[in-house]
Amino acid sequence: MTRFRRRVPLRSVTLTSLVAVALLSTLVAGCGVRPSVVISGNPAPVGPVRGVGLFFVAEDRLALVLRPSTPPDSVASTLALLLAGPSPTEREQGYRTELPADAGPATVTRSDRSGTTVRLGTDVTGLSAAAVDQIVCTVRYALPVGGPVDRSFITVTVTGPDGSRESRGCAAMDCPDQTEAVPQDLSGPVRCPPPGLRPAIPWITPSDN
Amino acid sequence: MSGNAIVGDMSRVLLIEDHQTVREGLQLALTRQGHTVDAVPTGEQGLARLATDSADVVVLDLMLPGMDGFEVCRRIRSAGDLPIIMLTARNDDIDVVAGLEAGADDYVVKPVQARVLEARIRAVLRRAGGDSRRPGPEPAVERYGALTIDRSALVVSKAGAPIGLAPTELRLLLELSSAPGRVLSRQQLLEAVWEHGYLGDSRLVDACVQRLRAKIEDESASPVYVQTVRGFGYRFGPL
Amino acid sequence: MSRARFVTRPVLLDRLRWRVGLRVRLLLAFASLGLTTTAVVAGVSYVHARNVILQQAQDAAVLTLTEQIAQLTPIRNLPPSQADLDAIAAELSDHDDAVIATYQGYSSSRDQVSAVLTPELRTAVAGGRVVWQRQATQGFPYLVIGTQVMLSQPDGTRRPSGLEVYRLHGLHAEQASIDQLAMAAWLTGGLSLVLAVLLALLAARGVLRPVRDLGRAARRLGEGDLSTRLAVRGSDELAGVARTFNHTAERLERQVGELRRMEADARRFVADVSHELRTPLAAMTAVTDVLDEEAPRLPGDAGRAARLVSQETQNLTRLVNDLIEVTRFDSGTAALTLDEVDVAAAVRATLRARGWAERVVADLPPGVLARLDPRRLDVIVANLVGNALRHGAPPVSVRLGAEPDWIVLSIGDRGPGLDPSVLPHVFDRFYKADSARSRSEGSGLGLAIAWENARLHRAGARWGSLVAANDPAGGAVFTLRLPRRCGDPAPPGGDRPERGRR
Repeated sequence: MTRFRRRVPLRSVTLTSLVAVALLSTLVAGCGVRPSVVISGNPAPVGPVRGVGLFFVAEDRLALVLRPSTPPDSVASTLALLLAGPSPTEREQGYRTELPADAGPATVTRSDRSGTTVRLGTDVTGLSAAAVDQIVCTVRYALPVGGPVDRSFITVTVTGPDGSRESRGCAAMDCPDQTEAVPQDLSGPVRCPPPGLRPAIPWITPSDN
Repeated sequence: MSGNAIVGDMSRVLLIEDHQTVREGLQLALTRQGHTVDAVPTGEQGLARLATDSADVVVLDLMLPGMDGFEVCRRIRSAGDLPIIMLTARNDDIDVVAGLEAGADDYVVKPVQARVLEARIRAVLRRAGGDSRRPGPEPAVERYGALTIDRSALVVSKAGAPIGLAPTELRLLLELSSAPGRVLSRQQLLEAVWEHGYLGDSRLVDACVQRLRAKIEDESASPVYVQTVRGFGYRFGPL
Repeated sequence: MSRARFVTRPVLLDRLRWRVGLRVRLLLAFASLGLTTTAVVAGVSYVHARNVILQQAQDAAVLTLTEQIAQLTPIRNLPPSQADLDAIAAELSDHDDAVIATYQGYSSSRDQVSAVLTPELRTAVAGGRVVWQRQATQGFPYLVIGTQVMLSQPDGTRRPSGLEVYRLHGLHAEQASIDQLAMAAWLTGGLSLVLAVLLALLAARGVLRPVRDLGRAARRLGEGDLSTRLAVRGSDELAGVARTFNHTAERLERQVGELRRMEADARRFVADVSHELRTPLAAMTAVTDVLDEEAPRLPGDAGRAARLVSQETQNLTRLVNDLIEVTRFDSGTAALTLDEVDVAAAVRATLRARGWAERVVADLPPGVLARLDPRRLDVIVANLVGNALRHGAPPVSVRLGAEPDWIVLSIGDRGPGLDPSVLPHVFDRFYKADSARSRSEGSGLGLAIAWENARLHRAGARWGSLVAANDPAGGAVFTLRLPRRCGDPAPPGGDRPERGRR
């Protein structure tokens, strides 16, 4: 009986000390500010932008380019800038245009029923889809804010001496949260890719800077 | 059995004992031994009897109704030097010592065989009687300081005035002074004076010495004549 | 193994048991309870508080960044030049935080920031939401916030610009606050531990003191102090135990007192009876001599009857005297009358008085002085020699030996000796070794009285003794040892040595 009494105190001592040590180690380990995983919050903020927006092509995708400008801008002057092509700096960074150099001058007419019509100086039937998109998107981007906006009816028709192209919207602008437009077929309304599909941003690794 | 007593067989014994059967028994036995026994039940009657008739020895029971034995003993002792033998039921300290201080010469413990009591009676009578007398050519009168001891007349005087000593006290003094300066042990004194031998009670000696000192010494606390020798006994002198 | 440890080190285990006793157990219990509770509570609240602090800091930083982005100088160039990127980054930075703005691979110059941009962070930023991540390098915690800069298109929709902003926000202040929290939690833990220990000690003392008092009182009770009582404090279980103890002690005291009183009454009764017997015996003893003398002259049976009565009266007297002696020993009123004696002379006188001088071989060197009670010595010697002569066989020897502090008297015979079964009881009262032995040989108290007489002689811590044994050469030998210089007689009552110790 005494032996039992001798054992129990020792065991309880050991047990208590073990528990204490465990507690203490947990406390010590969890102290301070610990690194965390990536946490998401609100949607990204909108930064103020001022400038003329031109759509050029970068790696088979439409990309927006801004140029500093002095207001007021008209759509015609914006188109003129577009038709002028990317600047040498932009060209270095990989922007190009699929519009021919002699596509100008372009005239823009707007009507409530048929949207906007852009008349180019060259043939339009031979233009690539990306080229058409460039014009469409640039015109769309240049349209003054505040007008009646009904996306499905903001279409731009590109016409030329040889005819006109189908009026279409600008996927690059109509599909929010998208950095570039997905090449689509020219018929039918704009279709946005499903939200899950987030194409990667192409960037040049810092070592190439 | 009767002993070689100088004193005649017809010695008178006054027996004071309150228990009737004890009284009768002792009276019977002592009478057979040749003593004349006068037995009374109380101390008052005993004292009255002494006043009218004389006796040679008193045998006194301590436990008495009325006047107790110690008081009777004291009265008898103060009246004279009659030998007194105490009868005590217990030999406890208190009784014996008190009795000896009251003046008894000896004591016996009840129940006592008659012959034992008889022997004590004879011894004490010898002390009281002529046994102490020393015949012979030696001078009978001895002087020790202020003390004068007459062995033939058996008179002790101090500074000329005679002192009344009980027989045992006298015998003790004579015994001690017969060998002055020599130490006598209690046992020796018991044997010589009381005739008890080693079976005796040394308190007898101590009590008797106390009484003796009270009578002959100037100061009992620092005795001159009868000196105590611690661990050995008593000694007469040196002065 | 553990059993061996048990057996060989009992002292160590006792100390261990004391060490891990009640006090320590209470201490451990309280301490672990306090510590656990505090740890849990402090830990939970610390974690919660930390989360809140960090969350608030993060939210504030994120909000600041978003607002600042919203109020940036408007972007005019896309793609931005290096200078534009630097300008954006500079505009968004402040003295505390570093900001890097990137555009598709180009970044404003802050290499240290780009080093912390993990792939997961960049992937998350591409998802179009503001993201942040806590990181720590070299003990410094910081927050990395990353977000795209969206453009608002003329028609109100938003589109990503491809511009990304990353901000490195130091969390030093938060770290400091959290560290303070941690410090407070530790402090609380420590204080609670101290408090728990104090409480444990207090509780232990509250329990241990009554327990210790109880232990001490029980020990005192066991040692014989029956008037021990405990003070009853409070009304809990310990007070109940104390009360029970008091009741028990009181009952014990009463019972022991009863027993003592009964014993004293019994003794007194024996003493009184013996005393009462003396009076009729005195009368009878006075006339035994007469009976003895007249017995031959009495006709026929009367003579024999007379002798019988005389004889038995003497026996009865002896018995009563012995009884009274014994009661004096029991009541402690027996006293020594000490005198200096030459022991050899005393023994010889004893033998002579009874007429045994010729029948006994005596080796008694003279000059052996001792201070003792000669009457009692005589009683002892007479009893022992008488027994030897009666029950033993000649030659009966009496030998005196002297030691510095003792005198030793050996009385032996060459008889059959003492039976080993009789030996331990030989000094018992009324013990007759052989029941067939006639009563006329003594009262049965002789040896008991001799033993008591021997023990009565005492010099300080030295007690006289009487021991019975068998001589290896045959016969019994009784050895009497008395201190040479006896002092006070034995103390009365409860201090009497037990008869079992011979």
